[in-house]
Amino acid sequence: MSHNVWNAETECLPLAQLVELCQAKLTESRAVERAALSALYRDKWAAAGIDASEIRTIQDLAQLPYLTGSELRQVQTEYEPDEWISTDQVRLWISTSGTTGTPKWVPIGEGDLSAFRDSISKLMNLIIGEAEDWSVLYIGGSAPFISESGGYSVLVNQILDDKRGEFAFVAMPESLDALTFARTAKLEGTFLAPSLAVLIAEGVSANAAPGAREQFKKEKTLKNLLGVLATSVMKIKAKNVFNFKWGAFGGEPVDPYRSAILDHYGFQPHSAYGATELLYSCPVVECSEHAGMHIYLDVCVPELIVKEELEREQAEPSYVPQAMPIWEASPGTVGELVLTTFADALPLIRYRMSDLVEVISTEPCPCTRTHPRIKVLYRSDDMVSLGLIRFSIYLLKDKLQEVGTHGEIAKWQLRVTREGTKPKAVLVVEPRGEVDKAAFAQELADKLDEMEGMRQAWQNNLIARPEVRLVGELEEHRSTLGKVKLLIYEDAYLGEA
Amino acid sequence: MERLKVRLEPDGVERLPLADLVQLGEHRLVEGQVVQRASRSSLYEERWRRAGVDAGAVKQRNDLRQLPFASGSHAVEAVKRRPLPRFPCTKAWAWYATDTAGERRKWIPYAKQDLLLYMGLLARLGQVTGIKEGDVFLTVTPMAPRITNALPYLWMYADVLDTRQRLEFLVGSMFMLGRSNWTEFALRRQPTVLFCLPQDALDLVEHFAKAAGQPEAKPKQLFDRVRMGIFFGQPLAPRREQIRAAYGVEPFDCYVTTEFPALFAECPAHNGLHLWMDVCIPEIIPTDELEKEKAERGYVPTAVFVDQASAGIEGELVLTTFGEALPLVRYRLGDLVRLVGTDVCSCGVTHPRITILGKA
Repeated sequence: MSHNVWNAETECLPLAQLVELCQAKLTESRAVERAALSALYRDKWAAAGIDASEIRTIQDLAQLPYLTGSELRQVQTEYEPDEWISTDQVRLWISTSGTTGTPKWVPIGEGDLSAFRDSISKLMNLIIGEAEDWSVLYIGGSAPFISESGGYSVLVNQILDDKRGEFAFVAMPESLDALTFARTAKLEGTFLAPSLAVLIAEGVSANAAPGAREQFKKEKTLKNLLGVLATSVMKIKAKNVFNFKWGAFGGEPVDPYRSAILDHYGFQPHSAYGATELLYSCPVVECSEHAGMHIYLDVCVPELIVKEELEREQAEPSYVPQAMPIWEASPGTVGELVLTTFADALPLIRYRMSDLVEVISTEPCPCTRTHPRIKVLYRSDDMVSLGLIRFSIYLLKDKLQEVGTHGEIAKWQLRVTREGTKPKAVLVVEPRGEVDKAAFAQELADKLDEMEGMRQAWQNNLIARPEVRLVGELEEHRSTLGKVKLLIYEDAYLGEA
Repeated sequence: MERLKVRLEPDGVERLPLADLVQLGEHRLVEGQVVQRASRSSLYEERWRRAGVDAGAVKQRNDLRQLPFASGSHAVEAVKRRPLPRFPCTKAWAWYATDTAGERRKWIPYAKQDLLLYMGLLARLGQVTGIKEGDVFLTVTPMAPRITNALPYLWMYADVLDTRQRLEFLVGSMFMLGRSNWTEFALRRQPTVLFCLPQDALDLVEHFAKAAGQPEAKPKQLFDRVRMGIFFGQPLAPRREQIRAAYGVEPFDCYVTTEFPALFAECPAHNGLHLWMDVCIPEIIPTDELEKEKAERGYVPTAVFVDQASAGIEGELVLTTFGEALPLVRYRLGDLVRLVGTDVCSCGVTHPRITILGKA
């Protein structure tokens, strides 16, 4: 793919100048000043003795307390929207899925739509270069999710730029019909979740031969006979059926699916990261080098709370961990992503993303862009991430406390791994005393299935069926500061399958 | 964000005398080479060739009568027989699909001008129904790839780019009920305009009551600010009074088709939907002709231009549009309508009014 960049003046600056640009945008956006009026920050900042007018530089941000997703949710519950939005021109409301709790509502202001216009141009350039005549099958969610509204923003962007892009936008439940359409229309690109892409590809391979036989039964033509013969001697793959030449994938880690996507579809997937709270202000996308996702310094101030700090925080709840700007981190540094955005309607100031990321490089990318590159690990120490299914380990803890009919739990841990490409949860339990193993394991499996979306996900093959493993003695894992870890991510979860 | 004019031209076209509107339609048909462009689409190409149609010979509106009708089944057939890229007569920018799933589902191409026209008609819908600055919309949309899914977003952009009424949109979907708390949030945000399918509005009554924790409450007790509803996708008439009683809103009917951004809209006179003559040439196949067609195999019914028909006439609506990606040429929409009148409406709009009676 092309190495053309959308705007070399802002995308290829030396790192030091990018940081200056970041500072200029922070100042110009008045994000901190505007945020100070919001119920999200004003009381908390006042209690911390913060004078927002004194927060002028990126370094000054360190004086501000972090904002977490649960705080955001709490404020949204307690205050009416007008109390926590930072614009008088909200144009659209979108919400998170709520898989990690009550959905969070995100106002999109006119300034956000404008900023997103630039982001889309950048994003499309990262993926397909300067190509003007692209076509895409966009499989998204339903309102009020961002994956619905975002699709139309892409379309309107094309109109404003007067650059044709052929766009078929469908909601997830309509995917099957849409795939038939995509094949007929020979659409060349796709936006969807990687697990869904692999599921579709597996379906294509599994159904090609029976489908061809069925077609021949219906209509005994030479073409259909050749179809039967072809599918009986060769394995049909998605690339034989679709015309997809590129794809952007998000919502879960792409790496475990990378080789499967390459094998089935014949192209390298582009990984994209963008939480609902952030996507309109700062999407993070992989370029054609596939060596990390570029996080743009002109739309946010990205910081990292490194692992050691996170562990100390876990061990000492009152400890406030220190964060470092991402551009000062060495390659390989892992930590929780913290973002300050310059958004119009809902500027997020030092917002903890609950996602661990790894810094890939702060050096210029071979694609010529200079914005740092990261890899999102899509996990934190308390968030269970099974591809598209996410929930807090503490919700599972609550659920397991209800167990007691067929036995009691002495110790437990949840291990997240993969079976092939599919994420898999393994609940390892050390029972207290003697139990009826089969009945107890079933009771535990039922509890696990009660987690939001879990049963539907494995029944629809999006994840592997969760497993319950009863052990005589559970081997506990502890953080470097000695805290027992309830959630363990095995290497297989993030590695290439 | 930059400005882009999406409002339809010429200014004041909604109040042009009917004769001028007819002339404007004819001008757009001929100057826009609609029939010549359409002849490149697989929807018409083969059938017109068989019928000996000379697309270049359509020099005035009356010449349309020489052309065969097209219909949804022709569209399905065209896509089955010819490669999909031959269906639009220019490259598509977006595709939307009809409600039916499976083989009968029609995928309709839209090009840039079609999308801009859609935005323009949404702006007009706001103007005709009396949308005010700062209105907060609660929109409930069917799922993509239906064109009705696009309505709130295209309207929002029409407003951001051109009309500048600072409209705010909260969008939910029936599919997400129970999977999202959008009904609760709607109660908190207190919309002023409801924009959805009429049946969805009725089905939502209990969900809003549940969201408010007041099982007996009607939406009109829960939404203090909502003053009007714009309803699309189904006939409003059978549900109008129920909606009025439940929500306490002034309901407006709006006709939407996938094949073309029609958006024929009811005005505050509530005496039919204005059929926009500047974006199409409408005809009606009268009921007696439809009956004759049913009775006599091979009979080709005769249609009458709406502006030449008498008030009260009932029949199937046929449209010729000036679309970019897929102009409809004498396309039978399969909907029965009654012509309410071609005289000037009490709201001042001059475009004829129809009521939708149901499926033909």
